[in-house]
Amino acid sequence: MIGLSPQETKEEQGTAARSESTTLSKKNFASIIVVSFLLIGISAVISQFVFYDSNSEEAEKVLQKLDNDYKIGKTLTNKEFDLYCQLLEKIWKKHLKACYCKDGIKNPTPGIDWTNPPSSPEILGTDWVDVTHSIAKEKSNRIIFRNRNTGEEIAFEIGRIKKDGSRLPNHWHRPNPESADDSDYYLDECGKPVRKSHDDSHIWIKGLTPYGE
Amino acid sequence: MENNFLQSLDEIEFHDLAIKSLTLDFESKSCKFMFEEYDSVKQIYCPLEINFYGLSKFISKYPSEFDFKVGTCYSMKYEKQKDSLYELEFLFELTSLQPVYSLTICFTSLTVKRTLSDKAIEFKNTGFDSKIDERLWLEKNSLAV
Repeated sequence: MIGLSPQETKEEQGTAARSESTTLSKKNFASIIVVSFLLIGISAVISQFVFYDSNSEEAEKVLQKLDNDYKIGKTLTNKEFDLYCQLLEKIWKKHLKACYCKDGIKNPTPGIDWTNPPSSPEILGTDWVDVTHSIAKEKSNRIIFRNRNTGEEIAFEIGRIKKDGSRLPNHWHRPNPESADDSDYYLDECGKPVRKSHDDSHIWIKGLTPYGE
Repeated sequence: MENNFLQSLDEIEFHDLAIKSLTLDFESKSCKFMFEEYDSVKQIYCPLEINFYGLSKFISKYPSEFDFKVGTCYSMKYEKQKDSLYELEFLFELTSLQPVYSLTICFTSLTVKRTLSDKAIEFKNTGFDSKIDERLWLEKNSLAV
């Protein structure tokens, strides 16, 4: 056995430290590479959820899987459920009530689901009376109905043609009967008061088939 | 020049636009309409000011059975009368969403001060089929709220 002098011991310790440091650097480098790939992978997965091409065959497969998971009661993450709702609407043209109004429905209208409103006023039924003023009839594309039992008023709007030739989609409006000022002038599809000019004051016709209700 | 001010008017979607005030200046024969546009991107309301100059007609008309409680603007249309003279009609709704209040003016020129951002205008002009499409557009443009 050969004894080491203090000087030799220090040098050996230095060499060992350098070697350890090199190993650590290599480990760090490897970790950085792994983390980078992981981040790229996660981004790719997230982007798949965010920017899904709903026309692709892959989208149909994903929808089938999510639908199956949903039906058997498997818990979907918020992102998965959003994607499920998006693909249901886009691909199958289906309307699942659970996809809308996460805070619940306020001020409901009996017989009308505003999250998938009637595509035409003709199917409103005899409780709804046309109360459109003659001037409004002459000058607008709006038909106003009043419910003979509840007094509630709603308006159907035939989307007019814009100057660029495109047509605004047909939609509904619900005036807020409890409105105090501009901030709560309308009700949105969930029955929540919305301000004048707000996009949500337009209740767009989706033309979807009810699903799983 | 003429086309410029008409174009700036054409770019605005008046349907369901909230009106805040109307100021008439008899001395200078001008009037100022203050509207309010909704910015769906930032979720804020932006003032929109339109000044009409060279007024030669001002007709405000609505059925007497209605209260004068103005809702939103329903539509705007204009036509050229003769050289540098235009007739414009705003149609506003009164209570219960009835578009029955018409305001007709003749003017020679106008200015538009719009404070809505370019991105919000692009959003308005895109014409989405559904809420989901709206949200995807916002996300794609890194404007998710």
